[in-house]
Amino acid sequence: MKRIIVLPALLAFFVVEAHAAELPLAKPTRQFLADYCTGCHNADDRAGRLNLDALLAKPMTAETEALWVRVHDRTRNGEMPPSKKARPPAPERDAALSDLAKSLKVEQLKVRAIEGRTAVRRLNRREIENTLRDLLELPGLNVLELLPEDGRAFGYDKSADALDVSAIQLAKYAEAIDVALSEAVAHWAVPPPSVVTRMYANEQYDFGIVIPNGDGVMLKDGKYDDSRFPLPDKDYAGGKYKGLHELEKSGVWKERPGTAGLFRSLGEAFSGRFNRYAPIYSGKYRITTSVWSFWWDRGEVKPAPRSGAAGIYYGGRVLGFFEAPSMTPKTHQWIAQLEPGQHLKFDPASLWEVHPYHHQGKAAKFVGPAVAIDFLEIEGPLIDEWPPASHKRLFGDMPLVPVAKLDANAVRPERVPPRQTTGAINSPNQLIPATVTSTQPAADAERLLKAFLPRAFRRPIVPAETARYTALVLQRLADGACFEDALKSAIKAALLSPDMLLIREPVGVLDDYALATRLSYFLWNSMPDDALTALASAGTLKEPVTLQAQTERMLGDPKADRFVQDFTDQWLDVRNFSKTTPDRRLYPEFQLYLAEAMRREPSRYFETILRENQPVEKLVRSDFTVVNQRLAEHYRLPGVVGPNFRRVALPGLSVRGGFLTMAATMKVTADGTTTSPVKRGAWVNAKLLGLPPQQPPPNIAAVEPDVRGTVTIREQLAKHRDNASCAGCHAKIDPPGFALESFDVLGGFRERYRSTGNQDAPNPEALFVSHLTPEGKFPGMHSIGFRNGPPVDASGTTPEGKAFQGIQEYRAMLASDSRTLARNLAEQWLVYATGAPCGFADRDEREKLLDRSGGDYRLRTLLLELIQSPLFRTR
Amino acid sequence: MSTFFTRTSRPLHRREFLRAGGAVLALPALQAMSPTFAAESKAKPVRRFVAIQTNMGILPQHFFPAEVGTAYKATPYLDLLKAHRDRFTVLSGVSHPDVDGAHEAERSFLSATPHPGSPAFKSTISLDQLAAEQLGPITRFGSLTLGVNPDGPQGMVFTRSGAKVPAEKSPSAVYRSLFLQGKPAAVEARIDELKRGRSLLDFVSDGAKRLDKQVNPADRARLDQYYTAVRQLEIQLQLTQEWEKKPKPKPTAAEPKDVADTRKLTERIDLMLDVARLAIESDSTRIVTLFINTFSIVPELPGVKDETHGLTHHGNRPEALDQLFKIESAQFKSLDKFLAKLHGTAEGGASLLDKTMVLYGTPMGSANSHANTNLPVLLAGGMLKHAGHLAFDRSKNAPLPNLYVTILQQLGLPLDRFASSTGTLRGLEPTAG
Repeated sequence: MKRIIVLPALLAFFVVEAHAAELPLAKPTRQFLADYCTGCHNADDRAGRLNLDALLAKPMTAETEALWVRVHDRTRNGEMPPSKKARPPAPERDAALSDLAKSLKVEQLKVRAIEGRTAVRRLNRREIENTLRDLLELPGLNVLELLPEDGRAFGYDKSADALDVSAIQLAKYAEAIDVALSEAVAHWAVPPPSVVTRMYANEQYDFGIVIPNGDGVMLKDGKYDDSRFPLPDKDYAGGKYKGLHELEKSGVWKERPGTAGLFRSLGEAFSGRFNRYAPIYSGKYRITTSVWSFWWDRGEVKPAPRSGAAGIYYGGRVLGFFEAPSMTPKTHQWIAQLEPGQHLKFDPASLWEVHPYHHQGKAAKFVGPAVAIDFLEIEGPLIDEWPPASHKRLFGDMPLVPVAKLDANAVRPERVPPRQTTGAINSPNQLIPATVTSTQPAADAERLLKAFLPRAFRRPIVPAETARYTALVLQRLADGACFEDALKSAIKAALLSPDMLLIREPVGVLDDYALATRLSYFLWNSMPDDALTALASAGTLKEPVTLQAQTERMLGDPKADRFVQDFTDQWLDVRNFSKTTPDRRLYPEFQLYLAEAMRREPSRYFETILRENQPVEKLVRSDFTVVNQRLAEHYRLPGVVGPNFRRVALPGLSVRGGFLTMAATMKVTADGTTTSPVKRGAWVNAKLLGLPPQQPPPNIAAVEPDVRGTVTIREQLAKHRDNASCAGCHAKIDPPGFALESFDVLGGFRERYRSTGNQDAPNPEALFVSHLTPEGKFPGMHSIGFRNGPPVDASGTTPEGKAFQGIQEYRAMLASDSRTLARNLAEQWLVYATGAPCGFADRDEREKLLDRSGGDYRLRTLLLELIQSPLFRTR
Repeated sequence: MSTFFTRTSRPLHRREFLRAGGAVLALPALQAMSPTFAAESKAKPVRRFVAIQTNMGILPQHFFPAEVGTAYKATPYLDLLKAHRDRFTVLSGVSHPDVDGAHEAERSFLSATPHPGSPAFKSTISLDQLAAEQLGPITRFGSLTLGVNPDGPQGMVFTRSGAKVPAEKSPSAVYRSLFLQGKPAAVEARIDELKRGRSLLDFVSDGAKRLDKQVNPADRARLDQYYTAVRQLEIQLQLTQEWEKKPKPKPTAAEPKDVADTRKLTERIDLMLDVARLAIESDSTRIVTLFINTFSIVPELPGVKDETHGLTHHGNRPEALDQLFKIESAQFKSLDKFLAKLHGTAEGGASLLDKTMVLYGTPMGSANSHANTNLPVLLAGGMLKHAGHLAFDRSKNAPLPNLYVTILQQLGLPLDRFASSTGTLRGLEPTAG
C-alpha cells in the first residue's frame, strides 16, 4: 500500500513567508528573455510546456524555483534557444545568465537562512530497527516487517518528503517497541540451557516425500546404500505399485540416520525443512552442516564436474550458501541470530529444479548432478551473560529476584512459559520466572532514566525531562504495576516521543550532537555509539582531524555494511530486484542461488572500491569484480570455486566490471521477458550521470515487445529517431540503452535475443555452464524452451555525436568523464546523508568539494571531503 | 497484552499474538470509526464478505459450464446450487499472476503473493485482513479466521507483516467468543490495558507540545502531523475500549457441539459455516474466512474409501474420479445449505445473502497436474449483477486479484488496487442502489 507522501507543496506553503514576490531580474535580463525566449515560451504557444511570461510574474516557490533553474541550465548548455532559432551573442547571454544565477542564489539563501536546506524528518523503518537494536543491544531483533513501507523522495527514503507520520505508523511502531522491550528484559532467573541437536535428512517429513519418490537416494560410504532397499527401477504408472511404492510403504529409507543425496533443488512440493527442531528462544545459535556433491549415473556415484552449493535457510530467509565439494564432505559452521518458531531448511541450491519422479525409471535411470547432506546440527541458545546486555541497558545492575521469592502482596509481572509452537519435538525447559524489584523506586527510576534517555534522545537531557519520566514510573506504580512494567512504560513513552522518532537539526552549522547523529545515520543507519557521543559532549567532533578520524573508524566498523547495502539498494534500484520474475521458458536458469548471487554483487563491489579508495571511473569500468562461483559461471569467468564472494581479476576484453554491466542492475532495468533501451538509458542518465530525464508527454502509447522475435525492440523505437520532438529527449536517453542491449534480463551477455519463435536452436553448452555433464554436454532431462532470435545491434551515437559499436566503446566514453561521475556520486551521497539534494546556491560549494578530491576522484577521498564540506556540516 | 489493539476471537499466547497482529486498525475518516456509525443507513449499506477455500481442487469437468453467460447448461456441481442460480457468478480463465507451486498456492489464495513455493517466501497481506484493517473498529471483531482441519503450516490468512493468522478449529469456541460475556476480570484487565495505552499517548503528546515552543516554522508541518497521528491513535483506543464495555449480542441458536472425527467432513464444514452465519447475523464481524483442508482426510461418504489427496492424483482412473466427485459434491451441498440460510434471513428489507459476498474456490486448476491456472472460482451474493458464467481467456488468464478489487469496492472501501490487480473485474458490476 502506498503511504501518503507530504508533497513539497505543503512545505512550500511555509516558504512563501520567506519570499515576497517573483524573482527579481535586471532590465537587460528581462530584455534578453523577451528577445530570445518568450517568442515561443508564452501563454499561447507554451513550447515545451513552459510559459515564461507567466513565470516572470509568479512568486517564488519550490516549483517556480525549479523551473527557473531549468531555464538557466538549458540556456547555459546551449540547448536553448534551439539551433534553428536566432542565437544570442555570447556576451549578452552570459550577462543574462550571470544575473539570473545571482538572483536565484540570493533568493535561495534567503530561504536557507530561515529553514536550512534540509527538513526535520522521522526515522525510516530500517533506521528504527537498527536504532532499537543498537539502543537495546539486541542484534537479532527483527521488527522491520512490522513497520509499513516508507515512501521515496529524490530516490531515497531518507527525506522528510518521503516519511509521513500517521496513526498507523505510530501504532505499528508501538507494536515494534513492545516486541523489542519484551526481548530485551530478562524474564527468568537463569537462562535456558544451550542444547545440541543433530539432525539427519531422512528423518524429516519433507525428505520423506521426495526420497521414496525418486528425487533423491540414501548413501553410505560414498555409494548408494543398498543395505536399505534395492535401487527401484519400475515405472510409476496408474495401478503398478511395484518397486518404488514398496520402498515408500516400507519406510526403510527413514530407519537409521544417514546421508541423503538429492537430485533437485527446493521448489514445487519440496520445502527441505528439518521439522523435528524449531528454536523456542530468540538468540544466537551455532549451526553446523556437512555437505558434498557428486554425479549420479543410474545407480553409480561418480565425481561431480564442479563444486555444488548447499543453501541453508531459516523460515523465509537465506542464512547462507555453502560449498559442497565433489566427493569430499566439507563441514561448515557459523553463528546465526534466530527468532523462535521456524525451521531450518536444506536446499541443493546449485541444482536445476528437475523432477526425476516424473520420469521413467526415476532414480534408477537418472543421470545428473546431486548434492548430499550428512547432517545438520544446531546448538543454542548461546548466552554470553546473564542478565543479558539488553536487560542491563534498561535496569542497570539491579538484581533479578525469582518471582516466587517476592512478598506475598507484591505485584507480579506477566510471565508466559515458553512454548514449542510448531510440530517440532524439542520442548521448552522449565524456567524460573524472575523480575527486578526496587526498595527505592523513585531513586532507581531516576538513575536508570538518566542513563537511558540521553542515548535514546541522542543529546544531553535536562533534569526536568528526567523528572517527567520518573513521575510516569511512579504514577504506574501507584496504579498497581510492578517496577518492571512501570519502567517499561516510561521507556516506551520515551521511544514513542518525537525526541527519539524525529531527527531535528538547528538551522545553520550543526552542533556536535546533531553532527554525530547525521554522521551515524549516514554510515551506520543508526544512532551514534558511546565513543562518538563522548566526542560530541567534549565538543571536539567538529574539528576536522577528529571528524576525519571518526569517519574512518565508522567505515571500518561492521555496522558500515548497513550503509553499503542500503545505499547501493536505493541508489541503483537493486531493492527492486524481486519485483519481476524472468519468464521460465526464456530464462530457465533463473533460480534462487543465481538470484542471491546477482543480488549481492553490487554491495560487495561497492564495499571493495570504497575500501580500496579506487578512482570513480571504477563505477562504470573496472579490471576486477567481486563474485562467487555461480555468478562467475553466469559471466563465463573460469576458475572461481565456492559460494563465497571474492575479488576476481577480469581479462582485458571482459565486458564485466563496474555497475553499468552488472547482472543485478541489468535485471532491475528490465522486466521478466524483455529489456528496454529506454528504461536502461534513463537509469544510466539518472543514476550514473545525475541527469534524470523528463517525463514523457502524456498520451504516448506503451510499446508491446515482440517475444516471437520478428521485430527487435530497437526497431520498434524507430520513432525516437524519426520524430524531432521525441528525439529531443531520446537522443540522450536511448544511446546507453542501445549499448546495453547486449545484456539480457538477467544481465547475461547475448549476441542473439532469446525468443519463442521458430528460429534456430541455441547452444546450451555455451549458455548454461553451471549445469553441464562431466563430458561438457547439456543434460537430456533439462529442457530449453526458447530459440535464437534476431541478432543484437548494440551500436549508437551519443548526444555529442560520437558513434560507438557496442558496450566497450560506450563504456570507455562514459568512464572518461570522471568529473560527471564524481559529481553525481557526491550528490547521491548528499541526498542519502542529509535528505535533500544540492540546490542552485550550493553548486559552487559542490564544485569546490570536487576540486579538493583529486583529479581521479577516488571514492574514499570524495566521501571524506563531503563530510568535511559545509554541505554536510550545515542544515 | 500491551499492544494497543487487541481484537482476537480467542486469547492468544502473547508472542503469538504479537506476531499474528490481530486486526490492526487503519484510519479512515474519524467519524466513520465510531460504533454508532456502524449502523446501517441508506447511504451506507452494510456489506460482508466470506471467503471459502477448499484446498484439494475442484474437478474442472464437473464445474465449468460449456456455455458462457446466464443461459449456461448447469454442470453437476452447479446443479447442486441451482436454487441460487441467479445469485452467483462462475468465473473461468482466471488465476493469480505468478502464483505457482502446486499445493503451496493455497497460501496465496487470498493474498496473491507470487511464488509461494519459493524457499524465501514472505506473504503480503491477505484480502480479508486488508478489508478488516480498512473497515476499522465498526464491529467487535475485525475478522474471523476459521478452518476445518487447518494443520501445521497451512493457511491462507496473513497479516501486513507476513505473519500467518492461525485458524480457529472449534465451532463451539468461536460461538463462546461471539456470545458469552467475557469474565469480568478479563474484561477489566483489557480495559485497564487500553486506559494505560491512552495515558501513555497523553504523556507523549504532552511532551511533544513542550518541544513546540522552540519550533522552526519550517518544521511545524511535520510536528503537526505527529500530533495529529498521536491524537488519532488515542481515539482508536477509546473506541476499542467502548467495545470492551458493550455487552455481547444474544445468540439465535444454541452452542454447537464440536465433532472431533475428521472423517465426518460434511458435519464439520456445516458446523463452521453455521457459526460463521451467526457471526454475520449478529454483526459481530463483517469479514469471515474458512479454510477447508482435505489432505489426508478420508471423508465418511457412501462410496468413498480412499484418502482425498491420493484421489486427486487420479490419472483419469474412473474409480478415483468417482470418489472425488462424491467428496466435492458433498462440499457443494454444504455451500448450498449455507447460501440458503443466508438467503432465508432477512435484514432491513433485503436478505443476508444480498448483503454478503461469498467467494468459493480452490488454488489449483487441476489438482491432478498441479496446475495453478484456470482456477475454479465462484462469487455469490453481495448486490452484484450476477453474470452466470463469466469466461476469460483460458490460455492467458485474467488476474483473479481484479475480482478482489471489486470485492473491496463492494465493501465500500475506496481502494483501486490489490496485489497484482490491473483494475476491477470486467463483467461483474454492482446492482443499482
